[in-house]
Amino acid sequence: MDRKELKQKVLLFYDQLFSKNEDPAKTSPNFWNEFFLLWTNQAKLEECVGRLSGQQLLRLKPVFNILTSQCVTVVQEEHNIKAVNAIQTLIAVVRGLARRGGVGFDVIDILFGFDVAEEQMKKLIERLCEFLMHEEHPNVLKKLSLDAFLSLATVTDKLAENELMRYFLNSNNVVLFDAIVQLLNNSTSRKLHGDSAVLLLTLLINYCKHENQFIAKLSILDDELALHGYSHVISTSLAEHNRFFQNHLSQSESKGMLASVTNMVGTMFVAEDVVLNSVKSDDRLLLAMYEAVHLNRNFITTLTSMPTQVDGMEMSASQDESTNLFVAFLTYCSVVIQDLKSERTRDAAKLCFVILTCIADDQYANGVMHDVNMAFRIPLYRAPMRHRKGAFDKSRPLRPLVVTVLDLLCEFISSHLMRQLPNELFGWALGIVQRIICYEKKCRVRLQYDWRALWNALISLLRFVVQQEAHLVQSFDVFVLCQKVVTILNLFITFGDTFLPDPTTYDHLYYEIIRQRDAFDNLYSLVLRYVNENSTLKESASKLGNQLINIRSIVSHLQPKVAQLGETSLTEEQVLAVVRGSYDSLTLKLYEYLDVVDRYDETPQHTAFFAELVSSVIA
Amino acid sequence: MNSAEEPQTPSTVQNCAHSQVGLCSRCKLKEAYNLSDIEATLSTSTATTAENRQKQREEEEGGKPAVDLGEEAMEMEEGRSNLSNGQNDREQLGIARIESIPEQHAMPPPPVPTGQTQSWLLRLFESKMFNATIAMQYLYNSKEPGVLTYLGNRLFFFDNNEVDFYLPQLVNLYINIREVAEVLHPYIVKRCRESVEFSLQCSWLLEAYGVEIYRMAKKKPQGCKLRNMILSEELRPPSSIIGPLPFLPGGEQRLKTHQRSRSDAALPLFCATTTGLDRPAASRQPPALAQMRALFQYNVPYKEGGMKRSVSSASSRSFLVPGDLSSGRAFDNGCECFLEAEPIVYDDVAGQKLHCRCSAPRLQPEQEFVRSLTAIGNRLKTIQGKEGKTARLISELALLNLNLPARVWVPFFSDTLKHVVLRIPHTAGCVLNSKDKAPYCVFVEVLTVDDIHQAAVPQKMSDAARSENNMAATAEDLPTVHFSLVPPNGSDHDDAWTHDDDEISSQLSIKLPPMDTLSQMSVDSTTSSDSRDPGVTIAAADIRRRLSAWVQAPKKQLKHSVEDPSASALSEPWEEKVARIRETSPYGRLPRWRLLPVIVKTGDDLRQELLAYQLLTALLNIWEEEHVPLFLRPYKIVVVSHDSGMIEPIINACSLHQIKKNAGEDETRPAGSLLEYFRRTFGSPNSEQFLRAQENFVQSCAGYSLACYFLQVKDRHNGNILLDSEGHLIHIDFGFILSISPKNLGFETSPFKLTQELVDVMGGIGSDMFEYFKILMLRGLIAARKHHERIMNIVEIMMSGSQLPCFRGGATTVRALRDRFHMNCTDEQLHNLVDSMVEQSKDSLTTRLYDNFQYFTNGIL
Repeated sequence: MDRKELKQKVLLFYDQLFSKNEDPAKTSPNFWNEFFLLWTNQAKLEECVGRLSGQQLLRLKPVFNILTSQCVTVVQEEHNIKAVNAIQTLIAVVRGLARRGGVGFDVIDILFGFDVAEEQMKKLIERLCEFLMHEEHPNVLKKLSLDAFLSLATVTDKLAENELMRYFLNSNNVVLFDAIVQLLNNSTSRKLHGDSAVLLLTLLINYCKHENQFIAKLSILDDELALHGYSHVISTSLAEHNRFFQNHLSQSESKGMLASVTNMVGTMFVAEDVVLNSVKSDDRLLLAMYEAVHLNRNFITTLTSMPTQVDGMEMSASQDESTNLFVAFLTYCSVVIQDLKSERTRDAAKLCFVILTCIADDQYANGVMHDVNMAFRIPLYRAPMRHRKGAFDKSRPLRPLVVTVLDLLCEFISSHLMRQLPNELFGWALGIVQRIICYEKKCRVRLQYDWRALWNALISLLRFVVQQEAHLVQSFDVFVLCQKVVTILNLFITFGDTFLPDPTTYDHLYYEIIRQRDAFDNLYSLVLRYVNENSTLKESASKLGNQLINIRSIVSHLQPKVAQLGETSLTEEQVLAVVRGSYDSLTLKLYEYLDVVDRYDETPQHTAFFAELVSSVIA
Repeated sequence: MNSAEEPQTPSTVQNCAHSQVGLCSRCKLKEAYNLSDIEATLSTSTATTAENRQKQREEEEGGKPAVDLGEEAMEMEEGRSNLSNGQNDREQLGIARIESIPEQHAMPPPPVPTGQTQSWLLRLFESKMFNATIAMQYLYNSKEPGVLTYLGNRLFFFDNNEVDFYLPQLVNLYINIREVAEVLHPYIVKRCRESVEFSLQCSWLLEAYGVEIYRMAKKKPQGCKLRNMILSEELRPPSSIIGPLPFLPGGEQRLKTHQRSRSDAALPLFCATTTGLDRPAASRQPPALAQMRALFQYNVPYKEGGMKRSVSSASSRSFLVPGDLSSGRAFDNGCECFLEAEPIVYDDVAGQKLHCRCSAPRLQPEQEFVRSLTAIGNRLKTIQGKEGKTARLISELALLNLNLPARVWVPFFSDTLKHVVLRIPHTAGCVLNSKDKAPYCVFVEVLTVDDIHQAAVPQKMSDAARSENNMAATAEDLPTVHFSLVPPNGSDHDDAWTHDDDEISSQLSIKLPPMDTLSQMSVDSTTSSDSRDPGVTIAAADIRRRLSAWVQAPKKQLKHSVEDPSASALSEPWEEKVARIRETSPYGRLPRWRLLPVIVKTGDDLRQELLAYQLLTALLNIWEEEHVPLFLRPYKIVVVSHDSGMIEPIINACSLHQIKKNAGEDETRPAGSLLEYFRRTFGSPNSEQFLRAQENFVQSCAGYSLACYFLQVKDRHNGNILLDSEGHLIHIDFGFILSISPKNLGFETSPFKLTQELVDVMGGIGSDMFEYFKILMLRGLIAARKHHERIMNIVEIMMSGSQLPCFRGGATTVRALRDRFHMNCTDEQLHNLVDSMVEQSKDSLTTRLYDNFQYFTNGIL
């Protein structure tokens, strides 16, 4: 009863407020005091404001100006309840106004009035940041302040249409940025507000990317604790999603044979929904991770760090290995990249690969990935296929991170040979492989890895492209894709001595080439066809032809010798013996720029992608 | 050395009966021995005005009145008064104590009392022969209060390092013998005031050696009190407490906030001291005030608005919880006195070193640092499996790293190499082999400084800071051998690379060794070849040849394995490791960068290791003095408590077990004996390198055989015997010495371990080197016998009140040890003894039995 009356009272106030275009305090001097002591009814207020027509709004401009200036004044006061109501009121009003389409200069004018807008916003933001930064303010107030920033930032679908963002960034950037950093810095506040803080920072960074001061600030941020905080916020959420997905899988598995057969169709749909859900809610996490990895080199060091909780209890719980960001991210990737059915999930997969590319671009990150002392067991999700169930592969050995990255990419390549070939994603995946190999070549890192898995994946990709050429060529230039594959193979052939673990592996490379020679033969005839046909793809086809020289000379050099053995079924050992015996007279062509990879750069190619991504995050 | 910091005691000279500075203790001694020359002048000393004395005492205590010592000091005073007979004597004692602190470095030779019978003991003490060893001996043996007092005073004259060697003995005496504690007290207090390192060492040893006694005693014994006194940070250098106080805006408040231990009575006195120094007040005021303000910031709740406060509020949080690793400032005591003072700042008036003046806790940062290292060990213990431990160690170290650089140091290196810790490369750390405990080894990057407590600690740098340039440096450092087939290439792209590199490599004073000279050709060929030129080719055979050459190239480092990561980490040649870590470290470019290895052990009693270190060092010193070329490699120990501490790792060394295991695993090479390993590592038996290694081996083997015999070192399986890169055999793990052996099963009854394998490396029985081995043993034995008292001394003192298992045999332990020096044998008999011991050890069944036992129970080869 009581509450209802209160609500009604506040509604009466709203009506009173918007009925005349003058300060209600003129008639009832205590109006504002009472107004802010009542709980705000955000929904109703937003509706009230939203209902007003353009003309009414113009007429009521003085009222709005008084209302906002009252809000700002009240927030400055030490009275927490009034401050809460003032913040909520302001949010509701802005949202109501934004319903009319964006927050342009006109809305700002109605809200604050042009002349004072700058100053009012500055005061407001500084006060909110104060709430965020200081210990003595209750957590509720901190949370509300963060929510205020977030809701003000997301009143419009497109960041670019939100003029309020300009105020966040321009006049007060130091304060707001510092406030966010400090929230992340402290382990207790991070636990409570970390998610919102990271999201807010991501949004702020994505506003007007070309002239954004926050980007500069984030890129030089070297407060390790804050960076670790940032990293742990993301890794905790990612791990949460992984666990959720894992539980769901095991639940659907444990239903028993019969149930699983009868409910086959049903469970499949559920499983997919789950994937979709998790992807949807985590785009922002991935975006946040991307911004940090992309912008801040120091952030790379936090990829493998553990949470900084030494509160005694939590550190002694031993199996929190997976909470390291890199590990959680890789597991998460393995889920995301399996499902490419919708535009949205493709975007998420692409974002995953972009992040991996940024990581593979970084020398330090590569060092960490190849460090034998940094070994982890990282469960990877394997999608259900005809011969296997969808499951998390948890029995993976303790290996350096790069092994998991390569496994992930091999799995991606060999499990997505479909008619709607995700060409762009393949491009990213192959780019990452090439970056990793270039690092190993440059730094003489001899990774103990079963490279045959990679070769097989690459060669089967070539096979598939040749097979589906007629269909695929309609959507993209297949030769560019094949060039990327052959470049990687050429790296192995001509620079294998710098990064392969032993001579036997090199023998095996030749063995695989001989064994799968038909794939290369077919590819070469395809190349010849396009070159002779004088098609539009002639140039890229002939380039590929040029790149195939080494492989073709290996085949033509070894094939006769293998044939000489004259047996129908050769053992691997026999062929390897031939390979070992025939190196001497074989010369290989040295290609230039095999190890030159362009560093990833967001502008201008990918700007649109990220703008869209941000919009979808806001929505 | 320390005299520069001694307070001035001008008036003491006239008080001395002998009118010699620093010799008045003689009066006391003579009195104790009832010497006849009690001068008449004695009375004048008692006539010294009380005021005068009071002043002296203040200065001696570092501007602190005696009452301030509290109960402790009062008891000391009482103890002293019991020693003497009357009021006069007591007064004189007090003076003697003060006067004993010298003004000059060297003690002038005593005047020879003409026609007087002088005590032989005194003559010994005043002779040139007298050193810390003798002082220890008499501190332990003498019951005469006068002698003890004299010795306590004489400690001040020794070189600090000389006394520091016997610190465990001093502490043990302090804990166990009250009379000795009383005479040692002033010395220890003085040293604690001077040095943070000494304070910490003392407090750790007091904790470690006193632990059994403290538990039993009802009343707090003196050792416990001293420890509390040190840890309460009461003992500060005298100059640190003069200065800022008189200018305080609110002196009382300051006392409340961080000087609870100091009584209010001290306040006026400080003022007096300061004014007495006659320093221009204005010159000191500003910094002092600034510091005070800095300190106040953390306590004053803010009221006014504005955003500046954010900084102080952030730091105030971390100040509340020192040792909280997640704060990022766990090892920061808040002292800001030396933020940019790299060159040592001298006080312009007195010419003394300036100490930190902000009264921040001096010991806390280092204490927290050591505590967090041992805490890691404790947490690792709870984790099962080597891989889990390794992963955990890495993440723990990464967390620790967030709090570095800081003004902390690795204890046992701080005396020889002054440094502050910059970073602990977390992936370089490794867990060592141990069944149920978790010792681990870390490599600590440090910056060498002139003075730990005054140097500016470098700014934090991110790990990623180095990597980009690092890439370029690596490429640059590879020797450029141009591929003969191609013309040198000069594309813009290439130039852009090298331009940058020159800068970097000039800053970087280190050059990497060529990592892999065999395959550099392909590096150059990458950029120099042109795809349109069909002539640029490479032979496939070359690629494979280089690959197999790389695989077959000898590698000193053992292969990485998940089960035993320490084998690979510890076998990596030290220089390579240093270069590798330096290259990746963000601090690597600092010219005074160094890398130090440390093993942290928890759950193990390191007190015996410390004893072994002392004994080995003593033996080594003896042999050095006697010019016997025996080799020992004592490793330093820091005992932090009775069950934790740190060990100095021996670099470039690998255990025999690991060597054998690694040789066995490699299919390409036959599982080899030690001799095989020597051949493989050092070349053919006639090469110079092999012969040098063999000589090293023999010298070290003889040295350790003797040491093992004297100390009855047991548990000598191959996991506890290392071989370094020069061929030295080095024993580690002295958990079983003197009267205990593992499980007392009666294995290892031979005098020392000498297996056929070791004899083979020497060249077999009857070879020249084997004979040399026996000769070395004999010479070593004779030398050790000559100075055996030095060894006995160390052991005897440590035995008093000790619960260490190696003293379980009681008095027989010492007797048996003394017997092993064979005092009553002629040289001829010793010769025969060595022969028979070698003979006995060589074919010892029990040694083999023990090796087999270890193989079957622990898999140690």
